[in-house]
Amino acid sequence: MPKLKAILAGMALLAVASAAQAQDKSKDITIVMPSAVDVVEPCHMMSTGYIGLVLRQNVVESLIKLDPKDSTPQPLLAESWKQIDPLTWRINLRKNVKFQDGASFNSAGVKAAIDRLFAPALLCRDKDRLFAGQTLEVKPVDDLTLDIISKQPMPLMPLTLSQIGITSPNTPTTEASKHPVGTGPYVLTSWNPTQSLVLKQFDGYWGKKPQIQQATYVWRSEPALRASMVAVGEADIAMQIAPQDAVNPDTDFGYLNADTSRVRIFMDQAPLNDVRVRKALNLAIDRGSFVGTILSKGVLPASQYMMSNINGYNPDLKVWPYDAEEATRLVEEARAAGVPVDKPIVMYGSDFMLANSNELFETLIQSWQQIGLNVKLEMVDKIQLSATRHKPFPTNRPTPTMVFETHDNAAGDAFYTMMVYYHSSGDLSNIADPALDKLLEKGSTSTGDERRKAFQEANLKIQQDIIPDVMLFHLESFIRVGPRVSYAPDFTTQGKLELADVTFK
Amino acid sequence: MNTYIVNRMVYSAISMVGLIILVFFLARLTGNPAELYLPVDATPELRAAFSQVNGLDQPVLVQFWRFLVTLLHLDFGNSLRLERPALQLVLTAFPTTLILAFSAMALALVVAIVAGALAACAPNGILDRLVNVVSLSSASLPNFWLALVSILVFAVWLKWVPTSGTGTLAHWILPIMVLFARPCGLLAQVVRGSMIDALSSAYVKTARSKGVRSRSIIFVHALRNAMLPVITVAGDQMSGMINGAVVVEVIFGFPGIGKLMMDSIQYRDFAVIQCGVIITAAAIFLMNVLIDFAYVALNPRIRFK
Repeated sequence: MPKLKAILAGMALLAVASAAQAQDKSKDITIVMPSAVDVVEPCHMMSTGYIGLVLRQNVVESLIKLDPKDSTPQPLLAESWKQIDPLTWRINLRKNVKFQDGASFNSAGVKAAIDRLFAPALLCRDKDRLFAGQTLEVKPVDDLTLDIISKQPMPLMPLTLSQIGITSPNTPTTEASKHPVGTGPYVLTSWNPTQSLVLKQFDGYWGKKPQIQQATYVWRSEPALRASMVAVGEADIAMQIAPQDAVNPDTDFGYLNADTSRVRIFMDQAPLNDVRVRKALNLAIDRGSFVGTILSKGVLPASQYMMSNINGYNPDLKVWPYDAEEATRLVEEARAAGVPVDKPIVMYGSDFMLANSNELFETLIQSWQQIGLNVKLEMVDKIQLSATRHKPFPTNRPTPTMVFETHDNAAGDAFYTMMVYYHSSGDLSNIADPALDKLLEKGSTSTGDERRKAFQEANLKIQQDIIPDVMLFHLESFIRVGPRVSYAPDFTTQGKLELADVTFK
Repeated sequence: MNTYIVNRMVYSAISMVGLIILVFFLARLTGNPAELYLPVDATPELRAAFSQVNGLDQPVLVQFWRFLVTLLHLDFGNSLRLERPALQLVLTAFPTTLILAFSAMALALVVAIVAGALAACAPNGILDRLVNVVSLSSASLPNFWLALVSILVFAVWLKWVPTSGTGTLAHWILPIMVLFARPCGLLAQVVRGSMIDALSSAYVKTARSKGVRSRSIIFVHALRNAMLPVITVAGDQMSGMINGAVVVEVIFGFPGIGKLMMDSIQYRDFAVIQCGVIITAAAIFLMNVLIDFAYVALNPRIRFK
């Protein structure tokens, strides 16, 4: 009995210790993420969501930032900007800004940061995405003014600059940074890639001081565990909890992330090279029946491969209606015209992509089988799925192929979707339509209304004439926010969580 | 004994070479890591540069030769994912797994031996039936389920221990308990069966007729003879744990070798996979030698050859 008492006393002590840890009343918070922050190189932060989630606008700031409501550029480290000729943008920098290592923020520092993106040893992923085939020359005009001169016109320069982190000129250019330094309100004070990362408030920050003093990021792969950590007070924010765990309306919030899902149709083989069959594939899906059942209530059926707040979104395009009868008729019409509609079609999918993906895939396949198409599902891992999505595509596929994929565009402009997925030169495009190319090129080199209309027209042509995909849903994510803090997620939250937006209640 | 150890080392070295070849080539059959490390819309130029920097553009046999040459200098290469020496990562993660495994196994051995021995004293009695039900249940429960349920009960509802992570002694309780359950159940079954045999043998009957106390008969005479199968099963279980208590480490966020290997396989981090396999295999070899010594210590009829 005394032994039992001793054990109980010991457990009570441990409980008190852990409870004391959980009820921390300071200005520190803990954020639990689904995957480890194993790299902190700022020049990958746009292309690698979890790096951006930690670093963007917290440690490393950009010259310009986007308003999440309408994606319009807003001043940040740059006070103003203007295009002075088709190839040159003049940027006026904010004064009285210092990097966290004491270096001055000026035009020479910005030049060093932009030049660093092009350093060959870094294999910078953001540079590859933003400046493929492009070269930049940065010319300081005076201490706080600089010109950015591109080889080809870059009408999207303000949006592009909103995606580049300005690092200290002392950041190494021959290897990935393990201690990124920027001008942001937080300094990275410790980082153990297998366990945690800590950001602490930067005393010399130029702007308004945020409420959070210190943020500790930890990672747990199990979504139920992440949700539990907030429930018991071990964490304040849990990223990407599962829809089935989002049961408390006071703490759990769903939000449309920037991801849109579709099934891409490779149109190189019969029967998928027949537009009637591609129309039938779209008409066979009852998109509304997925909402609130297999997928969460907040998902939206999609009519195009971008969200409505993206410049170039076409509001006149409607989601494909569900019409199984018409779909069956189209398949039969194609069959009568000699199209081999019975030929097996393979759809590639992978179960890492979203919650309940297996159920989603099975239902899609069943819908297509019901209209007389012979579609089969083939589950592959992430590496194989990626290889099926980009060029060079295999030239000798044994069967006609489709692939389920998702794409996020949080950058504010249709250019970042359409040139990659629909222009004949795009690395992920399997379309070669000269008229479409022309429209897309017009959109990408123009500005304002002309730009928007060109992309809208291109979207219309894609979805009504070419039909290279089965557009599915704008997807929803869930976040759990503990009782101590307030935070409202938006469509950029997947790749950026500004600690300044987190406040104490 | 020296000959025995040398022989074991030679056999283990041969197995190790086979293992290295297998792991090296099988890992590379699973695809190009560039697909995982670079965005799907990366340009062909970036893909080519990534492959070149990491030596993935060379024929696999050339890559294997380079690996062997650096291995001779005990250089396992750098982690693709973490950009640190693979050996450093593995050696940092290994102690966590060893502490987890040894704590769970020590606890399992003590509980299983006591419970199994007591159950064997009165076969089909109440205690025996209880030990049977509990041990069979704990040996059958899947680790991932037990881990999630124990978090829910002890961390979320009762708030006795933290849900996950490291830092205090309290963080070790749930992972050790979850890891303890399966081997404890298995070992209790083995101890019980082995003890029932031992207790019905002639030397035990002789001891009883001579008036030796029951406690001495059970825990001194019979138990020692019943321990050989227990050590065999315990060694097998221990190998599994040293290989990485994968499920436990992943769910509880424990930075051990199992989690490291799991992440490395997922990200095709070849250098860490190879280093992890070699270090783990060496540890298992060492443990098997120790188990052989334990056999000899327990049964004088066994001799090294």
